[in-house]
Amino acid sequence: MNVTCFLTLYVLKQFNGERSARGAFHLLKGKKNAQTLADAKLFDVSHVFGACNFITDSTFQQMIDNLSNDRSIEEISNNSYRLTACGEEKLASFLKEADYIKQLNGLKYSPMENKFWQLVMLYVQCISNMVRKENQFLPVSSDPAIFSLVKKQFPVTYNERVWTANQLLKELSELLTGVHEKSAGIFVLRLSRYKRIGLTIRQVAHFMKLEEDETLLRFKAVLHHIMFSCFEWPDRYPVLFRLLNGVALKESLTLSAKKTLEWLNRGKPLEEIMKIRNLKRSTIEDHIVEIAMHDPHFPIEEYVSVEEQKAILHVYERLKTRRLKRIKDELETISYFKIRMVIGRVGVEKDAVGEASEKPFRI
Amino acid sequence: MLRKMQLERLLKSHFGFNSFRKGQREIIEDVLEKKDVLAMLPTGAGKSLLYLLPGYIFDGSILIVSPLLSLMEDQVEQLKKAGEKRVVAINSFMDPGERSRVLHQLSKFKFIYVSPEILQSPFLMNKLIHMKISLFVVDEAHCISQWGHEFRPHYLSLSEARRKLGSPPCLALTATATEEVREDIKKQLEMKNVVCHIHSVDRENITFIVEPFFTCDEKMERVKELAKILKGPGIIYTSTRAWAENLSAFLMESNQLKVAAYHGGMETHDRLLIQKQFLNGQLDCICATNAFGMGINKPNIRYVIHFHPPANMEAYVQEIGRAGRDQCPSVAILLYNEGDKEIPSLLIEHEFPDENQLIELIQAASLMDKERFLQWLEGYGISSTAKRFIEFQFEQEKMFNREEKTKEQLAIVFQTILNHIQKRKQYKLNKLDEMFHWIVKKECKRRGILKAFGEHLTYKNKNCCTICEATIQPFLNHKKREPDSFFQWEKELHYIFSRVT
Repeated sequence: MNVTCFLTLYVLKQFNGERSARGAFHLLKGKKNAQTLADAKLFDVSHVFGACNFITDSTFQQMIDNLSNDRSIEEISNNSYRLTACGEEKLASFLKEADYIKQLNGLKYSPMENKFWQLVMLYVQCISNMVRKENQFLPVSSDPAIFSLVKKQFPVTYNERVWTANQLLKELSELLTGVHEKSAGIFVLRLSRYKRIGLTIRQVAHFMKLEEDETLLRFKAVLHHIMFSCFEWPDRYPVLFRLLNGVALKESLTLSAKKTLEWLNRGKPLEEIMKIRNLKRSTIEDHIVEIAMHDPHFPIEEYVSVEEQKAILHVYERLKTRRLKRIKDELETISYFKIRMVIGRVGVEKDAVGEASEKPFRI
Repeated sequence: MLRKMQLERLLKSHFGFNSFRKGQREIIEDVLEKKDVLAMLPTGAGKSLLYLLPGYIFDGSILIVSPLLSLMEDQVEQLKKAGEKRVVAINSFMDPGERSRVLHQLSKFKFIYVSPEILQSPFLMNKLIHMKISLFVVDEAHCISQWGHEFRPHYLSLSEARRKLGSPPCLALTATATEEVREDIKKQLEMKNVVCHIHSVDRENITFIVEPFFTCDEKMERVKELAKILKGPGIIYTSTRAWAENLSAFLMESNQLKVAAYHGGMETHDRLLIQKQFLNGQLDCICATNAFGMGINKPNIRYVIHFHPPANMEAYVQEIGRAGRDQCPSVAILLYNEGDKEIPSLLIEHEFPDENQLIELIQAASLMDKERFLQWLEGYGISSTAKRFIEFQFEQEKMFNREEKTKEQLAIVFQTILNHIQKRKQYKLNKLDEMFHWIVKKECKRRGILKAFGEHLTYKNKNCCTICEATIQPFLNHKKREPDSFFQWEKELHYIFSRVT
């Protein structure tokens, strides 16, 4: 079994038969619709969101079939699966080995990982050449947007460049010491420098004698680890943080939700946004739920009173289910919108406390 | 006389060359006299100079139409590297913000590269009309001809674009065009009083080797051996993406060589990295489909191997022409076995819709407007070449006009297009036959190539070709390959940021 297979097992385990295999596919693929984004939070799988964005419909289906055939999973209802004891065992031993999975944070970082990497790659290549006063080299990007971002942040004088090179070395050395030896190797081989163009994932996999999927995931995990650390300790990683800041976190919202957020920020109420954007109420509500999940400071009190929040949480804890329908049945007067907002916001934390021992990852 | 010195001064100051390469000066002089010029020069003869240098003399901008994105970007990058900042490539993949920024100050640019598709944008055209365009350059001009090996229907709209721009002088450039195609270029671009500069397609420094095999396995063994003993860097051409991948994996495993695959199905970023690694000398050899090469400017490619024969002589000449641009001896090796005609024949089939598909396509187009039809066509199961062909044919048959067509009219359209398809297919199959005829014929390979382009052999390389009993001896590698040093990420990371060269 390869990494993608294990991740599918993992997601199915988290879903616990409450979502279909289709949902697992969208999640691993990183589909940005309200349902998938909500599932990511609800089932505590947001870190693997978009982890396998290379996966195709048919390979996924093939994988599900294989997992069924070797009795790692069993179908409990139409296209919903549960792990067998054998599947649980396999998954557990995989997770013990694959420590890098913990460093993934897909929901947060996968929307910007590519752009961030493009930036880092070109920036490092430029610095590596410039400290040697070499200004004739083949740039590893052809994207004018990336060029202008690099240019904006590039030190002007030679002394500044030397300082930046040393600082970047310090930052990357420290960050890469925080990941597995193999992962650090993968990341460094992908970088370009003076007289060397970085390798593709396939080339790195061949060089390190690893599987391609694993190589890619390890590489993503390093990127996410770097992004996480930069946001957490910007003073410790000033050069990388400045690069990262060029790639806005807002990118993790769906395009439509972004627009709704802009209107909210201008102080427009929900009803008015409906009119302005000519959208249904439920659509705008989807957006608000999505925004609330991404922004811990988003004032949900404006939409759900504190009393209502308490009532929802109470039912949620009693039933221990993430099935909105069952929660709704108990709370006739409170709308789905409010329930989703509250569960989406706090569900993850609450859950982690209750089942911490079983949960291999934290966000 | 004054002009002669002036030209040389410009050549030195802008490009760093002391003298012109063969044929360049004559063409540039005709361009400067504002004549329409058709120039056919072998790849690597320095075609871009033919419009770049006049750019520094004319006061207006130079508009260059180029068929491929990678080609444009490559050119722009090289010019920028050489210090020319007033250069830009406009294509549909450009970031919208960047594009509008560029378009608003378009007249600031001296050299403007465009794709034929983008040139149909009314907004861009409107900007261009209000500028002074001193020269209208059509690169890879053979793409305009239906008889060329890379026909691109959008090229046919270039004559109209040129007219809208007040018919500036036109410079049509190509590396490989038969007599028939050259005539077509002149006609389609509405060139008047054309001056033609036709250089021989012969590449004197290239030796031609053709080797027959019974089976594909034998061929694999041979290519493995060749990749090991030949001096690189080299290109191995295959006819499909899957073969490019397979062969690259096979060579990597069996030879411990630095090999990579390159084809249109790869992710853009990966393709870019592989291309730059190759240019940078990090790869011994690249296994590629014909997607690799156009505009790749690497002077020291020592060999080009065809693991599968190409579909026609023009493609062959273009592909082997990537070897030895530095004028040093290089070798072109073609390997073939009996079954090798199948893939190109099949590919030719796939370039067109079949009869049932054509009926479906016509029905669809009769129900939709152009925009919706093109959108629908995106998802339709035919090759992109076939899609381009259909779009062009429907345009010709006025399928997208407002008035509805009767059943009888649609039947006529069907018959007309079907005839076209049959004619084009037959033409291409004949071209394929010509290629295989050349492969098996016991005649000097160089002479054969020249004949296909209507030329006569005047000079022979000492190590000419298989028939003239040439050997690959001079192309063998005598240097030992250095083993990879042990990789340690900390060490490498330190080296990246160090000042040690």
